[in-house]
Amino acid sequence: MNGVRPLSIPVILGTTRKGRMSAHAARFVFSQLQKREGVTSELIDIAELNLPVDDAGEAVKDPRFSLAMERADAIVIVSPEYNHSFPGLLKHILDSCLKEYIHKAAGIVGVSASVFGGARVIEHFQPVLRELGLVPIFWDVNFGTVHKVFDGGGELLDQAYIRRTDKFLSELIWMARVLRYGRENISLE
Amino acid sequence: MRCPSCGTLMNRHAEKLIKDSHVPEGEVLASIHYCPKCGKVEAELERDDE
Repeated sequence: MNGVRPLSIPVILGTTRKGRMSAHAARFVFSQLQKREGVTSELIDIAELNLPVDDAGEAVKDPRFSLAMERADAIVIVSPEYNHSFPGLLKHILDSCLKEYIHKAAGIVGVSASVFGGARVIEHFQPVLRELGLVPIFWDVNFGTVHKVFDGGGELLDQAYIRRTDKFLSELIWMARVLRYGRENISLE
Repeated sequence: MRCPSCGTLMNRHAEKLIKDSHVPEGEVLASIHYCPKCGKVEAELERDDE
């Protein structure tokens, strides 16, 4: 494994909705990632990408997003649950890349106002991640009843999420290291 | 394949069928290469070699 380059793990804030509580979750996970040694991260807000919607796939690729995904060793997707699934714009943006994702780890953070904590959106994501060549980890973070987890200013109210997020990130980083080793050293037969 | 950014020999670690409206089959095989030095990713389309 190349020991010089730190792992790159961007956090994608996957909604553009006004008043989105997912922004608090994304900023919290991003702050926890920044505490990890040997890891660099950035917060990517899909509201700032402004991808065209008159086409799809690689035809609407955003160079900044593409470069961030190419550099990434793993990604964290923070997604609210809208009608039991992910926001359409998030899927639109994820679909704009492919080669950038292959054999890289992905972790999902679900956010919802209900007690389910985005469990259904996380399940919906699994076949999408697989088709994109991403490798989903088996830890998630579920921000259920999210209005009780963060106050209006984004301050964490429930300290249990520090440990839960720590477990999630440890697994994601392990998978990111393993997959980087594979991309660097193990050739397809 | 050499990395177009740093010249390092890239590792071919995956193949993937991708949609391509320019071929009759509607999809083309891509080899995915990764640069162990700088992390650049390249996709080499099978039709490029034909």
